Amino acid sequence: MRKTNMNNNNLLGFAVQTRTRESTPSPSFYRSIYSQIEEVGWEHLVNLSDDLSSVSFRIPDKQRRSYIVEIGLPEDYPESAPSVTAEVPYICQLRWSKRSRLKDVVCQFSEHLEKLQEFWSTMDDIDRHLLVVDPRQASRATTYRRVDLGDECHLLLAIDASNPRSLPECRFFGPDAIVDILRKKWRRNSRKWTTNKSCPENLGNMLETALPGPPNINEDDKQVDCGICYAQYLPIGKTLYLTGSLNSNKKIIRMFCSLRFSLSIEDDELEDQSGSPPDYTCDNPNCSRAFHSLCLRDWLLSITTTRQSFDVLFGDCPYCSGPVAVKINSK
Amino acid sequence: MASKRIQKELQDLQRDPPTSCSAGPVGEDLFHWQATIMGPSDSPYSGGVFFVMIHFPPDYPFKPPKVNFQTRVYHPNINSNGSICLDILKEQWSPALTISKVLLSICSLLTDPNPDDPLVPEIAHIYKNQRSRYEETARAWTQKYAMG
Repeated sequence: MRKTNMNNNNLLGFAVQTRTRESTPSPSFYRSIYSQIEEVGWEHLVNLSDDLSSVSFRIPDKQRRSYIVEIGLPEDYPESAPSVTAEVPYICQLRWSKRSRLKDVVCQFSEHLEKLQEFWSTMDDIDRHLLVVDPRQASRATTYRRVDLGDECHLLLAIDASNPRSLPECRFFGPDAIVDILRKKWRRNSRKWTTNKSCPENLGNMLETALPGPPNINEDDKQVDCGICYAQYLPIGKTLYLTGSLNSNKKIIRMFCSLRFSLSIEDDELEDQSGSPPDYTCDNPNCSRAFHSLCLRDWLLSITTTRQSFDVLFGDCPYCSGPVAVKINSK
Repeated sequence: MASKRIQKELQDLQRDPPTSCSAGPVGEDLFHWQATIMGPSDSPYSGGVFFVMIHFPPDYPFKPPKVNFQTRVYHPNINSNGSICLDILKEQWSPALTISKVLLSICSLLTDPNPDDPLVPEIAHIYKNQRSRYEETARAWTQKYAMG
């Protein structure tokens, strides 16, 4: 018995250590941070850590793409500047003074996003016109693309995010004989690269050939609706994580409550799967109907003929009556 | 979820309307529809237009819609309240079914009554033993309640 207690104590000690701040911030610090968040706008808030060591906002750019920026608040904030992390190729140099506020960080980040637009449009051009094999799902921070040139040859392009229209750093991969020819052409035509043409166009000129394009998007993108809810994507639950030790400030608590209230938080169980496409297909090859496992589970739970073994439900496909099986707490 | 699916069914109905029936919301309420069914030409209901009320449960499509005739029908599986005895509206319901399929099933129920599982045993009895009398009465009712 005693041993268990000791283990628990150890665990507790570990848990305390993992917290990033040693002491809870003062009420005035909370007040200051909350008012600074309010200046940015609560609708932009994505996450606020318990101990106020970091705060994340969702910032849209002019193309309506949104970016999550995480701002780390040091212990002596605002004496020392906060740290900024986001999914962008590089982070801007933060201009910071003691009187700067969170909205200044957000403002500077938005400016930075505008600066990066040309880089992203270059990357989009490559994705749209060339056969990109890696990365399959590029994040907004990735600065490279590996494109298929045909004949088993690949070209790795490293784009300079601060100067995206310049000649990218290139590496050829493939059988030596073919790569040698490509390299020669590349060297011969290296002056043909111009900044007023798009990257795929420039590459075509330099390699003196039409490069293979992306696979037919219509075929690849053929998304299917769930056979039960008839929607392609599960609804997106507007869940906002906002927790904190708010015992010291009633005004903040009130603000916090009205916020939760106004956000009409949806089904808890959707949280994991909100926005996800159908993830289950009937095994019967003549049927192969697609479902959200969540919808199929709800259906199987609503009829009496379903059998259950441990956490798996066994039943019939609503379409072909073939056997289907889903986990109860499907993730 | 229910409203999204109902909306989608409505769109599909408008895009590709089934012959011999039509359906749509009565007012603003998406969960409350009215439908019309034309009496099948190879049945004594031929020429009649039958009104049907549809109520979607909040947990649609996990539960079947409630479908009732508003027009009186002389039929072994439809009683005087307009209730319909149809397996797919009860234990045989499946989310693979749609309102359009349900209405088509009701159409075929009008053509081919199921006297072995009757809702009105008297009509079922007449249907089984005196077919011409059944057809006559059904035609008369159609004339009286479902025309004009």
